[in-house]
Amino acid sequence: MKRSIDTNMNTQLAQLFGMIRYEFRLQWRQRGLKVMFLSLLLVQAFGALLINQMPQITNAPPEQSQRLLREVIASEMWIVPAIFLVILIPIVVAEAIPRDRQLGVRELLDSLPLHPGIYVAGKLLGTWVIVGAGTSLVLLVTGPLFVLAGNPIDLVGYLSAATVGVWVLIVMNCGLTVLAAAGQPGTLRGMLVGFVCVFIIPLAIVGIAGPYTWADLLSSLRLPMWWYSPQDRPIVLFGTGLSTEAVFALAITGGLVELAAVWFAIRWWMRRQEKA
Amino acid sequence: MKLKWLVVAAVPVIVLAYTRSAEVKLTAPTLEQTRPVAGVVALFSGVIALACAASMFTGLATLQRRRQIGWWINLRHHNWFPVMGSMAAITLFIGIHLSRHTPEQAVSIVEIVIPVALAVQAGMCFSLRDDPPLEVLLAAPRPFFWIPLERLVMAFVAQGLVALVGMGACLIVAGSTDLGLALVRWIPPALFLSGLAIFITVRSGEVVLGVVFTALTWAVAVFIGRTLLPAFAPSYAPPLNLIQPYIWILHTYLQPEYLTTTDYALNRIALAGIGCVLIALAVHRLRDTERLLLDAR
Repeated sequence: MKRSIDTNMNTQLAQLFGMIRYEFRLQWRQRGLKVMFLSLLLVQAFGALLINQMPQITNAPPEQSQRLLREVIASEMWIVPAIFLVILIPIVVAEAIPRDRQLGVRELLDSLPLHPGIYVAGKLLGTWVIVGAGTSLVLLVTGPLFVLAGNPIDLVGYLSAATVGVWVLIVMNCGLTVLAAAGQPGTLRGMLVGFVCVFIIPLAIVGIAGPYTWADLLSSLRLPMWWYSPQDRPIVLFGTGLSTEAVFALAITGGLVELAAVWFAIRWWMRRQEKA
Repeated sequence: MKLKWLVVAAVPVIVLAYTRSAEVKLTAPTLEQTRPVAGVVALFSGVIALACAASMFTGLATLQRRRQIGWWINLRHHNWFPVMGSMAAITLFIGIHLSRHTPEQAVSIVEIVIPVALAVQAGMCFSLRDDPPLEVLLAAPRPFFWIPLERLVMAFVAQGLVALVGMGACLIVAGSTDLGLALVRWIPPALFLSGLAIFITVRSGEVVLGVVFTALTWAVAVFIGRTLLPAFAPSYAPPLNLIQPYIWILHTYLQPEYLTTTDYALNRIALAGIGCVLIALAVHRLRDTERLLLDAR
């Protein structure tokens, strides 16, 4: 009995790893993600070369200029990847599941002994891995570039943003668009759903409620996470006395709750489709 | 091909090294110094755009005579989501301005919503991967490039109707009567952004890249548009301070009160002209059947 459970588990794990591996390769072959990573690399590289030439820094008194430079670098090094991970890359990866349906592979996969949960999990994990690997690689290259250009950087803060911050945003936003677009019949509709999720809805939320309100906790714009940079000043959010850590924790919890809700909704929808 | 990319990569490095050298002290050009460039861009792009538009309408008329245009089919397969989205967004923004007692700001609602909605639609109106029978379409006697053009015209008509209705509502809410200015506010940016979207889509073969980069261009212009004016050039690091003063020529969200009336007119002509040129370039690329088939792989 135990052996049978183990074998079943091993099969499911093998299927999951297979899905992750092939999703990784499939995404890597697409031009969209490569262009995104290259754009991020270029923007970060130019930022590294130009940031210490900003007139606000060069014209400031020497004792102020170093502090100012450190602050500007801390936010620049994080905000640019954050924009890519919050808005741009999630739209590009939204077509991960609809693409299979468009190519006619989905029907073939449905005829195989592959559980739909493993299929969706494999797609999701594969997307997370490729985006995480690409972004980490870019940050690994551009981090030393900031140092070589003679910029004073806070290494601990940079590493924490490049690891924890990046992965939190990838899990929340890329996961959201991949799952939300899962029911779409083609890549165009999938991309449109991703665009609505991370661009239109957050803009509408900001338009209605204004920035830095409680609505930000569930908005896919993830405004609190944009200020992940290790600056000394605390995050002033919601007009309450919440600490920076509390704001981060609330934003991450909100994002994960949202992701879980979409996951259950899409699983429920897929079960209904199977029965139909 | 490799040499081209080498040159593209070398140019910024050379510019950076030149502007950083101790002997060179380049100052940012003023608005007056950038005006002749704006005039030349507006003139050339305007003339080319007029020629392209004339050629397109002549072609459309010929096809119409031969009954080779499927307007009804295009209408039936038209993607109505962006149209509904722009309708909802205009209504929402009018509601927000009324509830906040800022009705005078309602004049810019249509210019915020319509260009980006139209650009998304334009970016999606042609996709190499999503038009499966590409070989069949290319083998047909009717030129292939009319398909995206027809879809683009449909998108312009649909969004244009929404824009006209929204414009009327916004003018009433804002208490303004300047119909000409209201039209000039959204048509040139809509042409420019849709041209950009379709050009990137056709050039890269990826719809998502066209949509994403156009949306990014729109967001930059809307949210940090003021900092792109020539007056802010001294706050940019060299060599960006030399480039930044020229950005107003193609600023999609330039407001009439930011610069003089002449500058505003030059900006609008340049935007509309470059938009038409980009559409024409995208269509020109679609004429090369062999390249199209290779891109689709």
